[in-house]
Amino acid sequence: MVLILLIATLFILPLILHAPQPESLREINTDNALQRAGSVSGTLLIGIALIATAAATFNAGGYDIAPQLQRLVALSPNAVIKQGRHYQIFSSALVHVNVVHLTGNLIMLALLSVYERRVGHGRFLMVFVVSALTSSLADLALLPDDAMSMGASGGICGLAAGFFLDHDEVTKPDWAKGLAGVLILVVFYSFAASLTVDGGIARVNWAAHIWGAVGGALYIRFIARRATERAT
Amino acid sequence: MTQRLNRHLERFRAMNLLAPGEKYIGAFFGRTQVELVWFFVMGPLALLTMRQYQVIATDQRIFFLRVSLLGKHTGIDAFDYNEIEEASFVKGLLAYKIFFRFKHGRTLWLDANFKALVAVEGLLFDEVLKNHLERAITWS
Repeated sequence: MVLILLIATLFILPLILHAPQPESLREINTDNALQRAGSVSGTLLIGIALIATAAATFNAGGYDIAPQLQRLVALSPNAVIKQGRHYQIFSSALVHVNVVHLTGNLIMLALLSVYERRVGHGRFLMVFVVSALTSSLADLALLPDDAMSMGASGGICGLAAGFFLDHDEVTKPDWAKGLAGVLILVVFYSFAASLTVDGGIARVNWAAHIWGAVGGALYIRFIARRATERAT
Repeated sequence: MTQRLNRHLERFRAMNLLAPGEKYIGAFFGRTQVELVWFFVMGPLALLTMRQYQVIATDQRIFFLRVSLLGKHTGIDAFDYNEIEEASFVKGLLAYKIFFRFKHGRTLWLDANFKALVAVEGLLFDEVLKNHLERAITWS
């Protein structure tokens, strides 16, 4: 529990204390801590949900997930399709296998708060949810029946796609090139992470990362940006 | 060597932002530095923290055209020279280290190359531009 509290502190404090300057050189950031927390409320909400889920599902030692809870909340095609545990499509995006897994995702989430500062918490949360669901559905279709998958990384890869692709005036060729670049980065980082995973007990689900990024990119291109264009 | 067109500069010209009688002096492409700490946190992705500007100097103002990672324009800021409190230009091996302190409190550090393998209009920072900026900022 001490470890989880330490992770929570290290996640929340920098987000509230850091005051990045606006993109426009004319503006200057004079926000107080409360306003700064408001500008990254989506990031804080997701991060706190991930940390709270870890606190609820980790062993008493607080380092990795309890096996009986893992079978209950991690995504397993067998459990979803044959046993009707449909909630695993959502719950698997919130649970993590151990502290290292959780910390890696929280670091990426905190870095991607830059994207939330640009587009606001509504779109940020929608991109996360859509990407996490896309990666869960892809897992259902692609994973062997008895395999288990968990982690917020599908949603986080969708946010990474948003960071690169969610701009005004992005043409179709630019969007395609940007998406290809994001996928190369996602695959590179997935394989780099798989080298650090303990010998064969768990593996990085790189396909879920890719489908998370693709889901986020498609949502931004065909729903979110079109809605923005209609509104303006 | 023939100079290639600079699409950021073309875009700037198409915006028609210059006031009547305002004279274009020169332009250069600048990027902010990446802080070393980000390399420890995120590895090569630290390069994403870099911001890029196409800077355009006229006889009255200086424009900062913001350019995204995809090479798209994300906005433009214009400053009269008297809105800049301080500026410095330090020559390195390949690039100038340029510093601006604006009167409203913002600061900006830019690296701007003075050498390159390709010839692109408005890419490099040169002595002419340096002298103009020093004079304009000092006397305003």
